[in-house]
Amino acid sequence: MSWSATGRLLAGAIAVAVLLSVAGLSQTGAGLRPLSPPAGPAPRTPEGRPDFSGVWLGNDELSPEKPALLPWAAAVMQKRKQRDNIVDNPASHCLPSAIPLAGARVYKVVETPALLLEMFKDVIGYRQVFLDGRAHPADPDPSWMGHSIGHWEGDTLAIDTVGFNDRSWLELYPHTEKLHIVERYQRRDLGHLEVRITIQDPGAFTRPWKIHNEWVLAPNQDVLEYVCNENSQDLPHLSAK
Amino acid sequence: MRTARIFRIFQPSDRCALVALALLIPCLRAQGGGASLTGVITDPGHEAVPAIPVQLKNTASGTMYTATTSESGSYNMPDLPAGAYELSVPAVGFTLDRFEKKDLVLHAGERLRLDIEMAWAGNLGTPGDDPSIYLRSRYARTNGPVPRMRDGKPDLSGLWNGNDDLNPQDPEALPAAAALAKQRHENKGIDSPSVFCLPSSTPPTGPLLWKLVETPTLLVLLFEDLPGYRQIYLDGRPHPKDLKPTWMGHSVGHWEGDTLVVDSVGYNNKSWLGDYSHTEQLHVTERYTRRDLAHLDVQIIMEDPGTFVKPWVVNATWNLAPGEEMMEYVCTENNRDVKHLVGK
Repeated sequence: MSWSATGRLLAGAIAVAVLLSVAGLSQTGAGLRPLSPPAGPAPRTPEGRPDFSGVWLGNDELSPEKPALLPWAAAVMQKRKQRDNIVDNPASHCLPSAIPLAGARVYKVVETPALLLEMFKDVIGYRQVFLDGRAHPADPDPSWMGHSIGHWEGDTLAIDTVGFNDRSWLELYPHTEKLHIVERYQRRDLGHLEVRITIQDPGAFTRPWKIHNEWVLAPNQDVLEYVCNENSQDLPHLSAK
Repeated sequence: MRTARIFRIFQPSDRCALVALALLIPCLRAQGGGASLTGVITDPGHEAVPAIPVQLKNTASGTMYTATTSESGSYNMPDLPAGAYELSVPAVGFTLDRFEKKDLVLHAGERLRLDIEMAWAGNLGTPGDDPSIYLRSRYARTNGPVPRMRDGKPDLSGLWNGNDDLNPQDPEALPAAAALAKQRHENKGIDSPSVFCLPSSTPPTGPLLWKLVETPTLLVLLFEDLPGYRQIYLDGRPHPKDLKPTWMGHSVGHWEGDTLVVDSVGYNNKSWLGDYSHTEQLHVTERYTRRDLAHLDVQIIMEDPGTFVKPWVVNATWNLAPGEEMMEYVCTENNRDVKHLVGK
């Protein structure tokens, strides 16, 4: 997604360890210089499905679009921007994201027939996408990352997530428990995974918010351990208006 | 935070639970000799404790007899030789403390009734706080053969209900390490890493839920603690030279027959093993053997010449809980206890 000036400040203050630890990249003004991934056709699992397994590097959003906010959400956004969006940001308090949206992340994907597992550097560290045909619980306990199920549409994996709490920030935007995220994964070839995300929340947004990422295979990388509380010394020093 | 787990897993109970009743039924000489021991195990709320093991060790011969409690909490051990015995009921999750009775004597032909009321462990009987008993009971009848991967290797995948070692061993530590552990135990672990939302499940020794996801090249362990997952590489790679120390270390695994042997180094020196510190020399070997569909035997050997005099071995059997799923663990979300913790 596009990074405003304050968004980049946030990235610098909170996520610098993430960026620096992903070796082999440098940050230009507009985003990350992409690696050249290995070439070849998209691999398949023994069951014949596209195999999304691998270590992937997210890229900045390809078609930046901003959500259209309901008035209360727009007011919250204004307040967050004024307070410099670091002090109150859940990430500053070692609280999780609903979905790791920031482009510059390392994602490790492990695909089995019944489960797609993703690991990344965030407070929760992993998420499970159930591929075994189960439905969402009828009355899910609201959680930071929701409940994710996936089904195949040809060679595209459609991931549907509901059951979110209302405590996380999507970039800087607020959301409600009505948040519903649909992602579509398509592996173009060995080195490229297209991720199209549609974020809906009738409690906060007036229309769906679409985000398009392209992940690049990074076979010499791996996801690194993230222990947010280990050295969380910044908090007393963060200041806001 | 999880202080209860920290000092309870690795400490044998030196604060024994209550024994409610020891009913002695007048001796009935059974035909053909042999004594028996039966009883009912309950929690302090007088609820039956189902599907848990009872161990009876003959102190002369060393023979161990075991039984498992039924749905109504009753256990039955027939055909026992007369003699002196030690009875133990292992801790159940964070719910019930280990129970021991060392001075049990059975006479020939005697039918002894021993009802046991166990004591609450760290969760103090809070309903819903620890699913260990519920899960044991719910999935007690799960059975089947060991599932296998396409290449014939055992598939360790599943959602596992961890358990404590039935016969926990006290580690033998160097004097400074032992003194520090004693101090921490007396201080009730108020400065343990878990209190500060730091990782507390470095080797997987605790009665937590453990989810294993196995592929031919990678075994992933998911757990409800920080940092939430651990990777065990099965692709033949060695440990890197000059590892950056981490909380979870670097783990590689290889198969020895149907046992997965995992070797881990590269630990930092920040986590606690029970009440014990460790150095960066910590080296952990784990052995995973799936006995059948519902049981995974786990052996964890912790070696650290900077802390322990000899390897510290933990043995446990995990039970499959196939209808369950991991929950999110977000320690910082409601970490209110810190200010209220009371040490020595």
